[in-house]
Amino acid sequence: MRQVAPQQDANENKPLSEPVLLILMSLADEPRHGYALMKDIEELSKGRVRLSTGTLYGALRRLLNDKWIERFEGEDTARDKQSYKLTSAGYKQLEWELERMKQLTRAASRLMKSEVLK
Amino acid sequence: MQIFHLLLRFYPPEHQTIFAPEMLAVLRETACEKRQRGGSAYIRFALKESFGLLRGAAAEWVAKLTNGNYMANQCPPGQAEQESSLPAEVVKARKHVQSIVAHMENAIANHQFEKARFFSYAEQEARERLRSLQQKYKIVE
Repeated sequence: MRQVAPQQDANENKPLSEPVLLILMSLADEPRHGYALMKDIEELSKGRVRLSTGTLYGALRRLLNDKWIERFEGEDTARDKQSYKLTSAGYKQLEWELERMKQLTRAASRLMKSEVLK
Repeated sequence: MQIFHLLLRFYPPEHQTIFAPEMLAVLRETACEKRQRGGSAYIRFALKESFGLLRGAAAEWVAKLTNGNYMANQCPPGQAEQESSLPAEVVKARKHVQSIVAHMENAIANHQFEKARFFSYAEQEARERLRSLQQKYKIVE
């Protein structure tokens, strides 16, 4: 019997890579399939991040393994148009990452403000 | 698209089984969009995706060889939920159909049309067997 728990624990509360963060953000409002994810990520990042199919599906495979996302079976789900949705674990990770980024931004703003005042 | 078919074969077999149809669908849609934007956009896309697939395949092999949980508990979309409640012979017949289809697609991709025709007949027989089993167990597809 294979165990997945140790890997999940190891991945918890590690800063997320940008593609992973953008995928989680894109799935936060609604389930999306691969092509829709790519387009949404491009839009979210204002055209800065354009994931290749290889990168996207590498990240999706890891996120499925870690159970941060799951397959979403809609009524019209075809074999080649599989949608994905965020799990509660994925949602928690996204919240944690956004909180971490807010803290960093606050700290950086404080430092920059004090530098300007000198 | 032939080059993408070929490059996807560099991925580990488990990855191919689960993600290759989706990846091809994404590549097809993106290719269609880029073609409309002109030749140079399409060439840039083809180069970027080809390198991406090669890099992705290498990364997946590294993950497979270093991670005992690689693709743990993952199966093709929709299969897991259904299979747990299906009779064993139906599951077996369904897998047989999938395997024949995979062989047929492979033969077509390699331009082995005689072989593909053989698998096409085999697929019809396998589907017939699956249909009769589904009728036997009153399973609606």
